[in-house]
Formats: sequence, C-alpha cells, structure tokens
Amino acid sequence: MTDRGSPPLHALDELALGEALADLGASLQFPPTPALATAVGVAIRSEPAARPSWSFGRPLRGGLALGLVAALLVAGLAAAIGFALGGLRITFGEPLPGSPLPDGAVNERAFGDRVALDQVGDRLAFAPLAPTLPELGVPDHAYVAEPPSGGALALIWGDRPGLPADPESGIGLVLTEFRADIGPDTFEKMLDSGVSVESTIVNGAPGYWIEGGEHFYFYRDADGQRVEETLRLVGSALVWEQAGLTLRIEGAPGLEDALRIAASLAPLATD
Amino acid sequence: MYRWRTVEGRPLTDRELIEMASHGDVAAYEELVRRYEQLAFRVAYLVCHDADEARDATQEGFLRAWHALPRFRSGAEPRPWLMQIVANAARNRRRGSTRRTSLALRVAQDRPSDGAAPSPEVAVLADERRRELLAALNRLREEDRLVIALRWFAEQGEAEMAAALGVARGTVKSRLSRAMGRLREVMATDVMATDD
Repeated sequence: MTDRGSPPLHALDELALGEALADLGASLQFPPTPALATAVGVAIRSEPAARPSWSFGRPLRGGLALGLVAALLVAGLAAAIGFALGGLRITFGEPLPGSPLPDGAVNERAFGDRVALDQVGDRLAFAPLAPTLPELGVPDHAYVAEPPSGGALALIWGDRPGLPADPESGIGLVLTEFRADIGPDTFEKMLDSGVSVESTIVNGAPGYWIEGGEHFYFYRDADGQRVEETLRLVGSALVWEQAGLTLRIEGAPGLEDALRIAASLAPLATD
Repeated sequence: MYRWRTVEGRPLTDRELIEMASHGDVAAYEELVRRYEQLAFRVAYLVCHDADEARDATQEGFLRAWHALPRFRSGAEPRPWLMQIVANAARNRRRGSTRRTSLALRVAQDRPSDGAAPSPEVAVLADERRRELLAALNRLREEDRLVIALRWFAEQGEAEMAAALGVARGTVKSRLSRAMGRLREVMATDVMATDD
C-alpha cells in the first residue's frame, strides 16, 4: 500500500518492491496496441499454401496437401544433388523411429548428412565423443558434414527434462565436434559484435562461453583452411579443445549445465 | 458465430485454439493472436523502443509462430511459446535497426481503475510513489531497465525473458537480481540526496 506509513522504496523487501513495480506497470502509458489478429490472418491466407511445413508426421487437412507436395519436391531435389549453406551440404532423410525431436526441426538446419548412430564412426576421421548424462540419453539425430576435412559430427537432442527446446526449431541441445583448433583472435571479433564471451576451463582445457545475439566464429580445419559458419544455432555455446578436437555445446541453459555435459563426455557408444 | 468461439457454452482454451490452429484453422489462430496481441506488442515495444518496429516485430513473430506450429509440443502452454517467438523477432529487429532510441516510460494520466476508489490523499501519494519509482528506473542502464520491465511490466517468465534478452535461461535470474539491486541503490542515493 502507498500511504504515509510506507517504508521508503529502496527499503522494501523483494516481494513489496515487486508489487510496487507491478503497480507501476499497470499505470504505464504504452502506445496503443495495433489490431494484428486480422492482419496476421490475412497474411496467412494469402500465402501459396495454408501452412508450409517440413513436417512428415501430421494429418493433412485441405490446402495443406499442396504445401507438403512442394516440400517433398524440394527435399527430393536436395537429396539427389545436395546444396550448400554455410559450407555444409543439406540433405533430407527419413526420420529415425521413436524420436522425440520433431523431424521438421532438423531438416531446415545445415548440419550435413543424417546418419544412423552406429554408422557415425565410419564417416569420421576421429573417434567421436558423446555425453553420458542419464537425463540426456542417446541423441535423437546424428549428422555428419564435410568439410571440414575429417568430417564434423553434430549430435542433436530435442526437449529433455531441465533442457527446454527452442520454441521454433524444437532443438534442445547440439554437440558438434571436429578436428580443428580455435584461434584467439576470433573471439575478439565477436566481442566487437556485441556478443558476450567468457573464458572458462573445460575438462582442464581453456574454453569459451559465448552468449547473446547471433555470433559467428572462424575455425581452421585439419588442412589449415579457415572456415566460417554460424556458431549460434539454438542458443548460448560452450567451445573448447579436447584430445585434438574442437567441441561445442549449444543450447545448454547456462554455463554450469554446459560444463556438466562436457564433463560427462566419453567415446560414443554405437551398440 | 464461428464454431471455435465456444464449446458447450464456454470460450475455447488457448490449448484448444492452438490445437485447432495446428490443423490449419486460421480463424482459431486469429483468436489466439487476439488474446495475446497486446502483451506481445508491449514486449516487442520494450525491446524495440519504437511503436512501428514493435508492431512489425509482433506481426512477424505471430507469422513465424504459425509456421512453427508443427513443432509446438502438444499439451504445452501456448503463451510462453508465442511470447518467446515474438521476443526473438523483436530482438532481431532491434539488432538490425540503425535507429537507437532509448526506452521512454511514462505514467498514464488516467490510471485504469482497479475497483475501490482511494481517497484523494492516498491517490496522490500513490501517484508520487509511482513517479519516484519510474524516475529511478529511467536512470538505470538500459540493460537493467529492460530486464525489470519484462518481468514486472510484461509479466514475462524466465524462458520468455531469456528469448527477449538473448541470453541463457540460467542468466535471467542473476541479471534480474543485479538489476533490482541497482534499482535499490539508485533509490537510496535519491533519498540521501534529498536528506542533504
């Protein structure tokens, strides 16, 4: 309450200060809210298909069929010839049975070729690692891309307890690994772009926790070529070197979670 | 009367509307947008600091959410999901904008009535206190002001705030706590200056 007996604002406890702020919020003058519902509806209805989608598992209704046919044509074309995005080839594969990650989420991402977990080792020139935390379980999807030389592995998890998925992509966590090293100049570039970079130690080795906004980074592949790609696909990222590999974890809710996942890494079990 | 307005005489829930929308019902989605357009617009305004940018970001966010419906987890609450997507759109727009306006918050002249009318004296004191609080807020760094505004003026949860701020969820709590601490410091400094 606000009367003469009220304590000064700076002396309010957490609850009372929150109430005062909520009361202030109810008094604030915002610009008038535009009527958007109709405009959104008109925009949706004016699109060629009622709802374009890469999803393969949903029942079709009315005009959605056209959208799916178009998507399948594009997917088939890509599978046949492939195309590059950020230096990586995109292909479309059949969903793995029983995957909790929506299949449409990953197909739009440039992770490379979808491969079964037990075939990952055949496509890489290094022994891949994977987290062993019980709450993560096995990855929902595995992708291999080349370049970089020796291959790059992306292991992908959907929603997990304590690991909420990105609302648009459905992706909760991505672990990427490849033979490479990280140049320190790279991160100065990112700081200039307004991205927060924090030095940390990961499994005894130097690493970086990268947070905020879109960030890009450079790495040198095993042939010494500099490669640029979008680092941030689903959220903040932890990057470090371990056993001759560059590893990065994206999507962990915080640095502590990412470090815990990193600490659990062990050779990928494929049986 | 559209069929989606009522089920057995009651309004449809958000979950029912999004389920219908996920099967291609544009009218159901429009109703969902109508329910959240004000909140979404305010979140976008707090991030963009500009009404036109906020309108475009809100519309873009709702359209992106429509396209992301196949990835909406059935049974989840639509509000935080929608707000995260709108906040993402607003943050991207803010980052891409060349205009750098600061957020100007003002107390409305006519506050919406919340029931019992206070006495004129109490009303004046309450108004003074709001202006004092707002003045302190407006002296905070923009980063602090935004995190407080998202929490208390737009009633955003942790996940929604993380999307709006572009940080991990684990960072939101500490950032809000630090901002609240700095707000107290500013208000305490004001009191000391008045006492001098």
